[in-house]
Amino acid sequence: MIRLVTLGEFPSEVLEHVARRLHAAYGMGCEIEGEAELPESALADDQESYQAPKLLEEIDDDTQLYADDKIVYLTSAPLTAPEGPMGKGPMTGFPQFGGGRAVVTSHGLGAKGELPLDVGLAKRAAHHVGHLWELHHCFDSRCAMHPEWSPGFTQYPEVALCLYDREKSERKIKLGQS
Amino acid sequence: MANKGTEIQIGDGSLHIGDRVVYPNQGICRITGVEVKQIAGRDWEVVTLSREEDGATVMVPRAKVMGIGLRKVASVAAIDDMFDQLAAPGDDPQLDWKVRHRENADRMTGGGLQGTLDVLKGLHALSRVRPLPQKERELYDSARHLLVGEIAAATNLPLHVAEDNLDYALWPPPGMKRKGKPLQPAALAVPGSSVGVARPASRAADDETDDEMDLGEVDVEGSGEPKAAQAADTEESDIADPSETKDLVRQRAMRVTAGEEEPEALDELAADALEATHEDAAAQPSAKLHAPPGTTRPQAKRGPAPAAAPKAGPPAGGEPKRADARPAGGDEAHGVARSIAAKALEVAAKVLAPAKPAARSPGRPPPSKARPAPPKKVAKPAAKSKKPAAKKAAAKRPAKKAPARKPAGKGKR
Repeated sequence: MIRLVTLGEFPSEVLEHVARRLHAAYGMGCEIEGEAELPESALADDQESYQAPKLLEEIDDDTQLYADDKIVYLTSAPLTAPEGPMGKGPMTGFPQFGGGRAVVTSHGLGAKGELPLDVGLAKRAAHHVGHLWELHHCFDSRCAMHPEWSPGFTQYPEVALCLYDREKSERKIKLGQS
Repeated sequence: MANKGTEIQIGDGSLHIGDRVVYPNQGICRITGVEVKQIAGRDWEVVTLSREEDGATVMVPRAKVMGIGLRKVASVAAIDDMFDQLAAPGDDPQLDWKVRHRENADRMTGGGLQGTLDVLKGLHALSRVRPLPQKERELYDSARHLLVGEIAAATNLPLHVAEDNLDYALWPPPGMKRKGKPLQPAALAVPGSSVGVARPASRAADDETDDEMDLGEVDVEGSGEPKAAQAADTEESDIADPSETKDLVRQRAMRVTAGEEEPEALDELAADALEATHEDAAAQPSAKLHAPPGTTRPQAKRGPAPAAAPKAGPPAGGEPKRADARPAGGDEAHGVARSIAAKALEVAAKVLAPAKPAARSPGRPPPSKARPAPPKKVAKPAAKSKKPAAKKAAAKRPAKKAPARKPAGKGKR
């Protein structure tokens, strides 16, 4: 089961769209769980964005997770992550790779050259849920696991996985304990 | 079990208990100890490792630790150097799948950082030219998984950040720089991207597993394949050119016309070509191959083999493989073979025609390929060429050759 928890205001139709797309992409149930508060302690130095890894650690959420349930937090706040060897890059979300939690931001969606809020958020959520199932980035520009900053990600708004990633995620889901 | 404080040296002395190591094809492990295990009645000193990904225990005989390629996690400097290589423009991918497979297997077995990087970069470059076959897609994913794990372990970053950084180098976002040098942003449509290549028909049988990307319709948005890919495709399609047999028959027909060769050899080649390209007949055991020695006509009786004769073998023998691999093209191949046989026999008939010119009425047009003439009034060789000779090739061959051999044989012998 994929559970959606909002960290801020989102139109209900957007959330329903995201839930439907996630259900279609992974073939497992998806429900809107409720709301939670953004932890202030996860604020970055600029006081505007949130440190995504810290946010996941410190979020105060009483959502019950069973076995291989996945929980996706949706926020509109910008996120940051530790800087790597290539420097800072775009950040649309942060999953615990192979784990159970991910945070996805809608920051930047709806702007010029970006996907609309509902479509973009659904695709970003599907991408990061894929990381929760240990899927890596895919070179197929139509796959939801294609790097989210690549132009192909916005060029193909449909939330679909390539055959390889679909099979891999299905294998992982089948092996899941729930 | 010992701990690090005991300073037990493993391998060449560079590994200790508690170290994080890279096990080839397995990923990041931590050395947990050295134990003595009784296996098959013998005591083995084994090094136990715990795979960080899932906690699985791996045991390696202590004497073989260095042999299997176990090594320490790369240093930050090595990772930095790796990113330099990732961000640098790569060479054209290796298009020969056998060479590629062998090289990639060796690199992965070796377990080195450079080898894994080469596999990833090579397959990434290839994925921009054509879709990866299933096995290579798995290899690509495996190499990516190992590299991401090692980057994360070496730089102490979360796995997702490590993967994002890896792809900042492979698919640079706009404005991305590497050591002050701006990187070219990833293009919207990579030339010949994985789902955008309409593959030439001649390559369809090349990779039996090349059918994995099925997300949608084919739309070529790029400027096409690199030159190396085009050259390789041309080379492969040349080998499998279905018109090659036809050309060889035509050349032999010309030699027959010039009197350099006996027409019966031509006749036989045409029949062979027809047999070889006919799937049903090709699937059946050859009468020639299974006949007892001495019952088939020896090569000597067909006359001295011309220099070009051996060349006719491979195309005729190679065709059934292509026909088997592409069942949809079977009818077409059969049609080509029929036209070859018809053309060959037509040429033979023309050569032999002066022997009995009165057999054909003057006002009657020569039999065409499209419209078979009534069997009664048409000269024998031409009439037989219209029939599917492959099905009854063995039975009809003597009758077909009889009129052709006599005049030519008389003239030459």
